[in-house]
This record gives sequence, structure tokens and C-alpha cells, in this order.
Amino acid sequence: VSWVVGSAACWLVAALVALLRPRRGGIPEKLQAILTLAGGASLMVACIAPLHGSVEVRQATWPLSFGPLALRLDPLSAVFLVPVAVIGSLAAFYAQGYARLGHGVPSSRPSMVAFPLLLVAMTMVAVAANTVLLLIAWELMTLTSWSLLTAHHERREVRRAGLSYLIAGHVSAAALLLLFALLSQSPSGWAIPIQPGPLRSTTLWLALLLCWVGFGTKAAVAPLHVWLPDAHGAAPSHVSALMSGVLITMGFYGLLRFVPALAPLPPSALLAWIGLGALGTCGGILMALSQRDVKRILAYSTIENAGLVTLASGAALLSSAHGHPALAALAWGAALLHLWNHAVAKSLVFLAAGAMGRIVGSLDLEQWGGLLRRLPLLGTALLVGTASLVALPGTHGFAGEWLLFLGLFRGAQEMVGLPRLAMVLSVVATAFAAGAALACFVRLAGVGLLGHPRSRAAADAAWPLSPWLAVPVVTLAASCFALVPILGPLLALLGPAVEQLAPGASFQPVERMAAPLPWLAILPLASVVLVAMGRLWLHRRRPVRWSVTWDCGISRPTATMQYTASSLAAPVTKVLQPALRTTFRWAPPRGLWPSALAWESRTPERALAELYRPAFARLSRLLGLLARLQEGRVVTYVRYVGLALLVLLAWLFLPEPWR
Amino acid sequence: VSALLSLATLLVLAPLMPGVAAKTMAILTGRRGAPLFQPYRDLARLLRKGVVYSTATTWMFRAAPAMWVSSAVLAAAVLPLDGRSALVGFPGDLFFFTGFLALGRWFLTLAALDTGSSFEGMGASRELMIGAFAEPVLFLALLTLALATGGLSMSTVFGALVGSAWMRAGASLAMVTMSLALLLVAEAARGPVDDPATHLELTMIHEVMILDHSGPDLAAILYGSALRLGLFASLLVDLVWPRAGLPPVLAAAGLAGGLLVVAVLVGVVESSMARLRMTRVPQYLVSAGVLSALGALLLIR
Repeated sequence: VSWVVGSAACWLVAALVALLRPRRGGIPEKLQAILTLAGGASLMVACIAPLHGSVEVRQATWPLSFGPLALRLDPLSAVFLVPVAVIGSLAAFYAQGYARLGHGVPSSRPSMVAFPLLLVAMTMVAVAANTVLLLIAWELMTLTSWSLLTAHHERREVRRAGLSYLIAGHVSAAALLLLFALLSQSPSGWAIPIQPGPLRSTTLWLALLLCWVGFGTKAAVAPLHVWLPDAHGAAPSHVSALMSGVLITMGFYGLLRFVPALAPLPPSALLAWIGLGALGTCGGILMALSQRDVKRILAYSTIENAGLVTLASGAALLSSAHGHPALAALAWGAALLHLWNHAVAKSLVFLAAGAMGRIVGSLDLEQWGGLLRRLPLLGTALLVGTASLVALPGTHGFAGEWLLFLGLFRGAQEMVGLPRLAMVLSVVATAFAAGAALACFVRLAGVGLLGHPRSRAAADAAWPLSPWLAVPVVTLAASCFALVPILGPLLALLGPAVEQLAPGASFQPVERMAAPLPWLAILPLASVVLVAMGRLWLHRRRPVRWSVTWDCGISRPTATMQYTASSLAAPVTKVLQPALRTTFRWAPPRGLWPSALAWESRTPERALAELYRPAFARLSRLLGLLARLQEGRVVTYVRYVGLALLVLLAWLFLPEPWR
Repeated sequence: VSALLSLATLLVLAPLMPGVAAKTMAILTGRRGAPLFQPYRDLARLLRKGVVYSTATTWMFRAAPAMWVSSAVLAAAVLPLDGRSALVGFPGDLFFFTGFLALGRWFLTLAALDTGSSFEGMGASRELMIGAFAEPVLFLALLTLALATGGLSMSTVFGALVGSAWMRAGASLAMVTMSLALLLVAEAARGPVDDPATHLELTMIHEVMILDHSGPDLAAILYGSALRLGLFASLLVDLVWPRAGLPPVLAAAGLAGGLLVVAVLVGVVESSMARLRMTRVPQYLVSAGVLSALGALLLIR
């Protein structure tokens, strides 16, 4: 715990440095980066012991009205602190280079102060041993990330995204306030971990609903995800990386900390949980497939991954509820490993794509093209990250999905009846999402990085060799491969947390099952080397010529002849039109000498258009009725006060049986 | 030894399958057709040729043919080709099979987009659509087999346990077999989903993606595609003809015979049906998925 406090202290000093020294550039910025790195390192040290199974509690001596102020570091919180430390440090490093890239403006003071504070808040969320402290940290997390998000508040869409993020954050905080008030009635009071004891069915459902709204909003569980695409699109890239890789996982920390503790859970709630996971998985990836803005593609893919983690944790809870602890251990292992993998891969693609977006001056996929030739380092990093997100064998992303499929298959084999059906449907949803993810990221990489440049800026793109950018990107890209051989020890670190989540389960069988994983995942790399050598041998004495693309007789293929991002996705979006509600506009060429034609596709965010907009409109109408009470004249308000007094008096004098 | 022998049989015989299919088609349509061993001659000719690369391409384009072949070989390594056990087998290798197929598709579609050609973009777009709809079908088929046999490895769900599973869950296995046969057509880019023999680029899927490859690269892609056809065909052979009890040589010979029978059937189907409209392809794949799903539902009680 002292190491955690030490890292928080480092970050607070970093925030102070940014606050006190108004001069930009030079020493303060570097000092801040170093301090953030030191904080991250300290946090990693703090995580070592709990990842091996130790639990440490530190109580402050201040007595507070809601119980002692306490910090608790156990395996589960350590699992969630690791991404904070790793991604937080790398993102801070990257921010220094990102600010000076392309047409970017240096980061403003508020955002430089808010970044370390956000890291402190996330750490506090994971170690708080008291619901009130957790709530304070939660609110701090929302506010600091909001301030980072709105760094470029001169743009209108950024302000809109900030507002919707703030609303979502406060709906979540309000739900948590109610949840903690509800839980304070249970024997454990305000303490974490909660021990609610037997609950009445209505109370249990209420608590589950509040958990879902409170934590699920941050975790982007569908359909509570609507704030996310706008927010990730609007934020600076290092903030998007942190939000997508780490902030989302904090929502899952809350869900994993509170929901399993409420057991025994009603089976229908668990089936609904899995259903929401499947909805997020399939919906997220299909929306990602139909976006043009690179960051929005990545944001929707985050929703897909959040859906996968939801699905895995739902499967784990369902197996626990039906008395299959071994199965639960497998599914929890899949969920936690996927969270780690997603943190690495998603922050990598956000960092790489963000830098490319700054260099090209646009995040529109149709303005990119041919970037792998012009920016080989960033392009290769982005390719590696997308390969990992698609879970191709050879990358570490494969391991999480492998465990998930294994868990679902075994669940289908061992459970019977309705749970078995749920597992079968989960397999279908996950497999469809895997196929669609391949399409989505081939589209992103193929249109954005390969082919001819689609704009002037993309043709002239050049890499200002900046170590601030290169180091984090290369580190993350290398870890996509480097984590594969050490998957065994890595999984072992998740063991204590899994055993905490599923009491009575043993993680040993899962580790044994995953033993062949590192070796077989290295095979593709080995085969690449072999085949490359074979090619060299074949090409020894062969004439190699360079020419233009052979486009079926067209002698000068140009960039405009390439398939566009929208038309690449059209076969899928057209087939799924009933679900996606994609609208197509087609202006065919006219006349004998046609000169222009246009084709456009647009996919709406259905949750926003069909759920939230009508709901908020109705809410505002209802609240409009209340506004009539507010007349603005003092006399009226005096009347209200008098009326309230009368009612209270009447209540007081009411005979006992009616009270 | 038995697994190695069968793997070698598959690797050697794979290019013969397109040849057999083409010959069948030629005979059925009253032509003489190319000789049976034409695919081998094509490969040998291409291997002797030089290469032309487009100036738009990157390392992705040059890596793709190699990865297309090696991913197919790696996928073959977890298949129980002799009907008993695979070269490499452990619980969960089902997802290595699917993962390696996805790896090949990833490289081939990216290489197609790397050329910046409109035709190859079109092919990639269609291939990705097929991939998105074929993936759940393959998983459903595997899941149904896993439910029927109780195994989690290719070596058990397609190998030793298949024979007894036919006794217990014959109807489910029959449906999975049909579903996999439909899937073979889509994954190996044969008619009626794709049209490998056409001369019009607009109607192709797989062939149009590889327009720009030449020389040894093209040979690698042709070989890899033949191998993919062989992979799915051997799944069918394993399923229809459980031959765990046979000695190694007979098992390998059985595989060879089975592969040729499948190739003849592919040729028959191709010559008797017109290519599906592209918008019908998802429906085709969904119906394959429904077959597997019915098989799975029969096992849910």
C-alpha cells in the first residue's frame, strides 16, 4: 500500500509541477513525464505482492462519519492497477511528442494538471475500501477525464461530446450514490468488499440495476455506451488511449467487485447480462465497420470488446450459479486476460492512429491511404495492433479470445437446458463478431495504410522522428508479440484474482489447459521466417520488375479508382440493413456523357436515436410541468413554505394507525 | 507416423483437386478439358517465372502469398487427417484451426487492398463479407460436433470419437456434414458461391483478389487455395468415413480417395448450378448456419 501511496504522491507532484510552472516546454514537461513514469513504476511494484495472492489493508486514523477511511490492495484491484500503471506512463510519455505534432497546439495547463490527477483517481477507485471514498474517486475520475476530453473546446463537436460525457458520468455517479446508500443497510455497511447477506428479491434486483447503470455506463456496456464514440473521437489521442484502454476497465472493476458479491444472483438476470454482452459485441463491431472516422472505428471496437468481457463475465457468473466452479474459473480468466490484452492493443492503435491523424491532418479514412510506405514505423505498429485486436494467432490478443471460446464450448458441453442454449448463442455472437472484426480492421488497415494515397496530405506525409512518440508505440507493438511466450506466468498472475471472484474455484486447471498456447502461437512467427527464407531462395536468380498495378487494362490507375472505405463495407451493411438502419443515397450518372455520380451511406447510432433522444425529450417535457411551479414571485414561494408546514403539521397530528 | 503420412498425402494431392473438379466439369459439359495434372504443370511453370510488383505495394503484398500457404499448412497440422489423431492435438486446438484460417484471410485481403486496384478492392470486400458470415457457421459446426462427441480438440471431434457419435447423434452429425459441405464451397471459393472458371472479373471473388500476383507468388497462392479446398474436404472425409481402426497406409489411401471423391462432387455441383447472385451469398451461408444450429438444438435437452 505504501507503494500505491508513493505513486499517487508522484502523480500529485506532477500535477503541481504543471500547475505552478506556467512556462511551457523545457524542464517542467520533461519533469512531469519522468514523475509520471516514476509513479507508474511504483504502482507496478505495489502490484507484485497482491498479484501473487496477498491482501493488504491500511486504515487511516481519521474517524469519519461513514466509517474509517481505508485502502485495500488485493489481487482483484492489482489486476486493474496494472493497466493504469503501464498505459498511464506510456500515454504521458507520448503526450509530450503528440502536442508538437502536425497542426497540433501544445497541451493546455488544465489538461496537463488533469492527466496525473486522472491516474490518481483511477488508482483510488481500485484501492478504496470504503464506498464513500470510492464515490469521491469516481467523481474525480469523471471530472478529470472530462477536462482532458475537452482540451480542444474551441471546436463545437468537442463541447457536445464533453457535455454528453458529463451527463453520462453523473447518471452513473447518481446510480452509485443510491447503490451505496442501499448497501449501507446491509451488515457490512460502507465497507468494501461488501457482505450483503441474504437480500430480498426486490432489493437484489434494485441493487443489480443500480450496479448496471452505475458501473456499466463507464464500462460502455450496451446500450449505455452512447457517450463513448463521441468522447473518444473528440479527445486527444493519448487521452483516448487511456480512456479506451484503462478507464473502461475501471467500470468493469466496479462490476466485478460488487456483482459477484451479491450472489446468489437470479438466473434471469444473468441471462440478460449475457444478452447485453452479445448485443454490445455484435452491435459494436458492426457500427465500427460502418464508420469513416478512424477514432470512431476504434471507439466502437472498444464497445465490442467491452461486450466480450461482459459476455465472459456473464458466462462465469452463470457457471458459478449452476455449480461449475472450474468453468467459472475459465471464463473469469478469459475476461481478465481479455481486459489486459485489450488495454495494450487498443491503446497501441489509438496512439499510432492518433499520430498519423495529426500528420495527415485528418482522421477521415478516405483522406488516408498509402501511409505504410510513408510512415513505416507507425504503420507497422497500427497493423500489429489491429492484428492483435482481431485475435490472430501469433499475437497476444489471440489468447484471450481462445480462453473465451474454450470457456463457452465447455459451458455448452457441461451445462444443460437454458444455460446450454445461452452458451450456444454466445458462441454464435462471438464468432460473428470475430469475423466482422476481421472485416473491420482489414478495412481500417487496407484503406488507411495501403494502396495509393487518397489525399495530398497523405501523399506528403512524413515522420518527424520523435522519440517521445516512437518509444511508447514501439513498446506496445513489441509487447503484442513479446507477451505471447510469457503467457503462462502472465496467466498465473490472474489466478488469485480469479479465485477471489469465484470462491471455491481453482485456477490451476486453466493454467494447465493454456500451457500449449505460447508454443503454438509462436508457430506463425517461425513459419514466417521459414517461408521468407524459402522466398529468398526462390527469388535468387529471378528477374524482379516494378510496374503500375495491373487494373484489367487501365494503364494509369489513380487513387480515385480505389475502393472506398464505405463501399468496402457495403456488402455487410446492405445485408444487415434491417438491423443497422443504414441509409444509402445514390445519384446515378445521367445523360449520354455522364460526368458525376454520387453514392453515400450513413449508419445512425440507434441507441441514441431511438432510445435516449425520445427518452430525454419526454423527460424534459415532464420536467417542464414542474417548471410552472417556479413563478419567480416571493409571495408564491412563501405560500409553498406555508403549505409544506401545514402538511407536516397534519402528518404530525395524524392518529397513529394511519401514519 | 500415421499422421505424417496423411499430412504428406494432403500436401501432395491438394493441387490435384482443382484439376479433378475441372475435368469433371469438362466431361459433364461435353468438352475434353485440360489434363488432370494441369495444376501441377501450372505450378511448375509459375515457379520458373520472374515476378512483377506494383509500385503501389508494400511488404504486406510480398508477405501475403507465403502467409496464405503457411497458415493453411499450420491449420492442416491440427487436423486428424488419418481419422485418428493430428500431428499436434490438445484441448482447444479447434480455435487454432479457425485462427489460422482467419490469419490467411487477413493477409490475402490486405494484399489485395495493397495494390490500390478497384477490382481487387471489390474482391476483398466480398471476401470479407463471406468471412463475416462464414465464421459463425464454422463455429456452430464445431460446437455441434463438440457437443456430440464431448471433445474439445480437432483430433477428438473429427477423429477417434466420430464413429460412436454417429450412433448416438446421427441426425445432428448429418446436419453438420451438410453444413460443412455448404461451407466448403464458400471458403474454398468454388461454385455456386464463386466462379473460378469465369473470364469476367466483375463476377469473381477469390480470383479477382490475386490479379496482381505473379511468378512464384502466384504459385504459392494457387497452392494455398488448393490446400484450403483440401482442408475442408478432409473435414468432410473424416466426418463421413470414420476410419480410426485402419492401418496408416490404408488411412492415408482412404484420405486420398475421399479427397478425389469430394473434388468430383465439387465439379458436379459447379457444372449443374449457375453462380448465385452476390446478395444471395449471405442467405446461402445463413442457411448453412441454420443446418448446424438445428444439429446443435437436437443435442440441447
